[in-house]
Amino acid sequence: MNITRDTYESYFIDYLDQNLTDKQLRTLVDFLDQNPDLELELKEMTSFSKQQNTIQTEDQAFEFDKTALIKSSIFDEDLSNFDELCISFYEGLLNDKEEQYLLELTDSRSELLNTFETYGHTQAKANLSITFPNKNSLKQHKKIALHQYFSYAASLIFVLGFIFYIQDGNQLSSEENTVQFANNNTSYMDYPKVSFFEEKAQITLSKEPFKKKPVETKNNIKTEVIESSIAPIEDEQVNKAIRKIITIPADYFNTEDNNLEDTDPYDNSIYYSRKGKLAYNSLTDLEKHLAKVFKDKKIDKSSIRSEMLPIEQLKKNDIKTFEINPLNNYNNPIQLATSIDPNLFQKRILGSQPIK
Amino acid sequence: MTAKEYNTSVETYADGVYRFILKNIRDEDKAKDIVQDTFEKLWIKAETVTYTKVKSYIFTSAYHTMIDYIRKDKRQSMMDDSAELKHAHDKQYTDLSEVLQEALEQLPPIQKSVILLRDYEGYSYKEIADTTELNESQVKVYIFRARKFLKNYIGTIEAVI
Repeated sequence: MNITRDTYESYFIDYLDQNLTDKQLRTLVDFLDQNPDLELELKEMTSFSKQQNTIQTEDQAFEFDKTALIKSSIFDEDLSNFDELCISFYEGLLNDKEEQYLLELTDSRSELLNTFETYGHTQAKANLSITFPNKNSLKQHKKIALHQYFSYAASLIFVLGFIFYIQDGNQLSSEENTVQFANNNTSYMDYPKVSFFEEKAQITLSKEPFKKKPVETKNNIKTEVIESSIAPIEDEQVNKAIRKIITIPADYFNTEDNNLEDTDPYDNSIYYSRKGKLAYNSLTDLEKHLAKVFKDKKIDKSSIRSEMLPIEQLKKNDIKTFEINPLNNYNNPIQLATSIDPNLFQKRILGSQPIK
Repeated sequence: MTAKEYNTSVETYADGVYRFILKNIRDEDKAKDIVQDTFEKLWIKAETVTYTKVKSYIFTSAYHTMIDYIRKDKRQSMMDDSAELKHAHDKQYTDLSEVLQEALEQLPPIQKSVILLRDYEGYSYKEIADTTELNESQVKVYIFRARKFLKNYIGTIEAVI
């Protein structure tokens, strides 16, 4: 039966009659610790019991002694639980009074003291000099910062490169700026259909204007590259547009049209525009470019626009034999041509108009 | 748990869990692997593990990884509490701490683990129970058995030195 405030009286009576077992005594002590008012009541009952017990002599008088009660509650008579108590002591499981009585007991008996102290040596202590090597390898570092770093660096390089490009372009004279065109001494009409890949931002610069260089094409057709100078454009939007100048089918150039002497020596695209056959990704790009190029010239842009045809009107044959002749890589046109997906290439002539 | 809290956890608990694992398995490389694996798991579950519970997660995860390792390693005995404890010793000891370390090595793995969690990390019985998936009574019994064994082992050595 558990001891509660409803059942404690029977416990008290059994206590006074000394009928409690060791376990019940321990339970009673715990209960009195939690209920000090009942501890006082038990003391009064003890006193009353003493007065009523006429048989007991004075020495045998039963007095409430919690100290004795605790001692008898924690120690077995034969001390068979001594090891358990020592371990409990070092584990911090005993209360203050229990600890005190255990210490008193061990002080009084040397054979118990030795055991008690030995238990004190069973507490393991960590060797703090042992540490995990390279703890930083476990930590999470901001990897994104590295990407950002490279992004920033790449952006900076691009911006600086662009600025230097613009500045260098301004410093070069028109005669020093050269650009190359595929050409030969025969009619373009004799050639397979050829178009050119142009990316003005990467135009090769040469100090020898109008220099002719032989180029061997994919179809073993020898052509000459005639360099013409080109003035860089300082407008970023326009430059961006110019970079989108992609291809021009060879049909654009017939014998009559292919009059390089009439070509504006400062901008190869003007040569094309005079034929009204510019190849841009969009009309907007074309207009932006022409607006800049013809800044000081009176050109009717609407007439140019009228010559533009949608890609649907291009014939497949017009681009089947296309050959890339990038102006910045005219010495090795074939290599570049083979590196471009024909489908992609077809898409990139959007806005161009072949001559049928 | 944020990345910052995770890194703080590494700084705070990596050494402790490494010592705990190393003391149990006495294999530095494997102990490093287990700790590394533990923190990788923690980072993967960083979103679900709160910072207040991180120590418990680390030690629990490391403990179970270690148990897996012990089970796979034929050289190690299984978690057999009934393993015969040997009191024989022929080493020369200079102090009691050495004797205690030697005695710890003689304990069955489960008793050794609970003792190390108790003494190295100051874990309560409940925390040890949570980490080792035992109940508190079992933890208490293992600790009492281990203490008694250690006391007897040390007692016999003390008689020698």
